[in-house]
Amino acid sequence: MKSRFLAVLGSAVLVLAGCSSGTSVTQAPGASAAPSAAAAGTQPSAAVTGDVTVWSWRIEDKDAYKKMFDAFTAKNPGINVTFETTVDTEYETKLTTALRAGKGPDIAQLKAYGELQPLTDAGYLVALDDKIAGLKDFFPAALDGARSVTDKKVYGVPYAMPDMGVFYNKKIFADNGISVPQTYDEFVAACQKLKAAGIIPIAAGGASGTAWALEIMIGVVGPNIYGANTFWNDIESGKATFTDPRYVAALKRLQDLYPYYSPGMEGVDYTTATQQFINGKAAMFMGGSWENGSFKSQNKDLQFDIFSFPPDKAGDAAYTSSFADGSYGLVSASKNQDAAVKVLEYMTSLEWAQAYADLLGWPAGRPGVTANDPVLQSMLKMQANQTPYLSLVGFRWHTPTASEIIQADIANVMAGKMTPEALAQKIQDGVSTWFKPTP
Amino acid sequence: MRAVLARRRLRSAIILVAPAFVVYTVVVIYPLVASLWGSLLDWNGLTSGRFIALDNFANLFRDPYLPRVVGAFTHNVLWFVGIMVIQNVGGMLIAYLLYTRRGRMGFFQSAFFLPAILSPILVGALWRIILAPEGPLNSVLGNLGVASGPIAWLGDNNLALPCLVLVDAWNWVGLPLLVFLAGFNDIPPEIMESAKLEGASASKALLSIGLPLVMPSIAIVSILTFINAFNQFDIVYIMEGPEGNPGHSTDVLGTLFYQLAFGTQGASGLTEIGIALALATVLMLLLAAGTVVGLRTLGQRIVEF
Repeated sequence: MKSRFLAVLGSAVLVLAGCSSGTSVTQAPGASAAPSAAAAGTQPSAAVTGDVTVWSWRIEDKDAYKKMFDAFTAKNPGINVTFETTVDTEYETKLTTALRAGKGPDIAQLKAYGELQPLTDAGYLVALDDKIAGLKDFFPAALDGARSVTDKKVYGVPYAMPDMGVFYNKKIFADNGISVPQTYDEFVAACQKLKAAGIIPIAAGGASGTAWALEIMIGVVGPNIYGANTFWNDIESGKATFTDPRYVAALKRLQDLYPYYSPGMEGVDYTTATQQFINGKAAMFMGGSWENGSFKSQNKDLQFDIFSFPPDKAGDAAYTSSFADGSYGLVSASKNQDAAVKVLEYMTSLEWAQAYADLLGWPAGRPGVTANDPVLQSMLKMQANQTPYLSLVGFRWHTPTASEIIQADIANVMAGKMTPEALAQKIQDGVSTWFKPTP
Repeated sequence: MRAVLARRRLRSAIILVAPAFVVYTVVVIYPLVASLWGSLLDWNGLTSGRFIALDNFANLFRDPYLPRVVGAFTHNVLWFVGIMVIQNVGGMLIAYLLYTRRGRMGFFQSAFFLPAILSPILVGALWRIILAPEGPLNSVLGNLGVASGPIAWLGDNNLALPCLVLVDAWNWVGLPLLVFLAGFNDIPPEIMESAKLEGASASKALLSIGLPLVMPSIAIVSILTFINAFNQFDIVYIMEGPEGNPGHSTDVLGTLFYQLAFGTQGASGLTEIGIALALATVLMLLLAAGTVVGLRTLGQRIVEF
C-alpha cells in the first residue's frame, strides 16, 4: 500500500520536473554546436545529409519555395528541406516561443533591422560571416538588414530588397485612355477620370490590424515630397525631425488623395483592398514588390505593371522607398547545422536568386539577376532612384517605433479626422524618447 | 480500526486527486508563479536579467505606457457597462416576457442561445464582413436612405468600440436569458398571482417582486459579466487586430498585454515582456478583488421568500 502510494507520488514529481522547461530564461550566447567544416563548400564529397526544416511567414510563396528547394535537393541528394509557413501576424510569436524552448526550425526567416536584434542578442542565431562564402556577393544595404548592431556580424542570408510603387491595371488604363502619369497633376487627373467612369481609382485599406499597408503608402508617395535622400540624411543627423514641414507635406498628400481611395477606406482592410485590385474593381494599388507574385497567383489574367509615384515637377526624379525585407538565418539549437549551412549557401547562389526573381518577382539582394518578368523589370528600373524606407530602416529599432505610432492614426489622417501636423508631432514625441541622431 | 480506515480513505483521496492536481500545477500554478516572478525582473528583448522588484509596475503607470493602460482600462469599464445594459438587461426583459406570456419558451431559448455556441473566430469574422464598408449593413442603410455614404463602422474611432460591444452582447445574450428565466420559474406562482389580483402592472410586478427574488441570478450574471468584460480578447483580436485599431480606440487590457508581450504585429516585433507581466499581474489582482467584492455585496441582497 505504502510503496504504491509513494510510486504514484514519485511519478507525479517526475512529470512535474520533466514539464518545467525553460526555467532558466537566459540563454548562453550563440555558440555553434557543429564544426563548420561544410562552411566554404570545399568538401563536396563528404556527403552531408539530414532533414532541414525552414520556417517562414510567406504562405503565399509556398509553391515557389517548394520548386526551388526541389532544385536544391536534386543537386544535394540526402538533404530534404521541409518548408513550413505561419501567418505573418503570428510568426514572430511562434518563432520566439519555440526558440525560447530550445526547439524551432533549423533555418528561420528573420525580420530585418530592429526586429532582428532581440533574436541575435539572445543568442538564438549563428553568425554567418565565416560560414557562408556567398554572402560577400550581396549588396551592402541588403546585408545591413541582417546585421546585429551589437557585434556587427551578419546573421542571415538576405532574400530580397523590395521597393514600392503604384501598381496599375494596364487594361483599365488602356480602356479609359490613361497613360502612366508623369507628374502629380496628371496623376490626379487620371484619378478623376477613373472615378467618373465608376472605377475605384486607388484601392486602399488598413483596417482591422492591417494598418502597415497604409504606412507603405507613405513610403510610396512620400519620398518625392519630403526630399528622399536629402531628408533621410537630415533626419538621421538630427538636422530635421518628423515635424519638419517636408514630412508633414507628405502626410498631407495622402490626405489630399482621400477622395480617390476605396469608399469608406478607414473600414476596409488590406486583404479586401488587394482583392479590389485583383478583381479589376480598382485601377491602382500602392504596394511593394511582394505583391507581384501574390497578384499573379491569385489572378493569372490580371495585366498589371508598376510605376514610381510621379514627382510634382515634370522631369524631376521619381523616387521609390526600398529596404531589406529580411533574411534566412541559422538557428543555434539546430541539430542539422551542416545540412542547414549547405541550404543557406545555396540560397546565396545566383541560381536561387534568379529562380526567386522568376517565380516570386522580388528584386534580389545580390547583383547578377536578369529580369524575365516585365513587372520585375519595372521594379529594377525604379531602383535607380531609391531611398531608404524611412519609418522602417530608421525608426523601428526601439519602442515606441515610428511605425506603431503611424499605424495607429494614419487612417484618421487620410480620412481628414486628424491633422498631419498632429500625427507628425505624435511620431516625433514617441521616437525622441530613444532616437539618437548620428551627426 | 477507525484510524486505519480514515488513513486509507485519505490516501485514496490523495491518489485520486494527484493526476488532476499535477496537471493543474503544471498548466496553471507554474505559469502563474513564473509570470509573477518574471514581472519582478528586468527584461531586454527576450532575455530576463536582474531582479528589479517593482520597477516594472512603476513604469507601467508612467509615460509612455500610462495613457495606453488608462485607455485600455476605460474601454474595459465601458465594455462592462455596455454588456450590463444591453446584454443583461436585454436578456432580463426577454426572460420576463417569456415568463409572463408562457410562450414557446424552448424555441426562443434555443434561438437566443444559438450565437453563444459559435466559435469567437466565426462570430468575429462574420461581423467583420457584415460591418465592412461595402458590406450588407451599409447596403441596407443605404437602401433605406439613412446613410449618405458607406460608414466605416470598424474604422471610426468613435464607432469601433460600441460595435464590438454590441457584437459581444449579441453573442452571449442567451446566457442571461437562460439564467433569469430559470430564476423566474423558481418563484412560487402564488406570489405573482396575488400581485396580479391586487392590480399590479407588469412592470411593477417585475421591479418590485421579480427582481428582488432573482437577485442570486443577477449576482451570478453580473460577476460573470465583470470577469468576461475585463478578460476580453477574442472579439477585439479577430475584428480589429491586437493593436487597438483605429487609433487605440479598441485597446483593451487583454490586447494591450498581447502587444507588450509579443510585439505589435506588422509594426515591430519588439517585446516589452517585463511591462507585460506587470500588466498581467495587475489585471489578475483587479479581477480577484472585483470578484470578491462583488460576491460579498451582491450576496447580501438575496431576498428570502
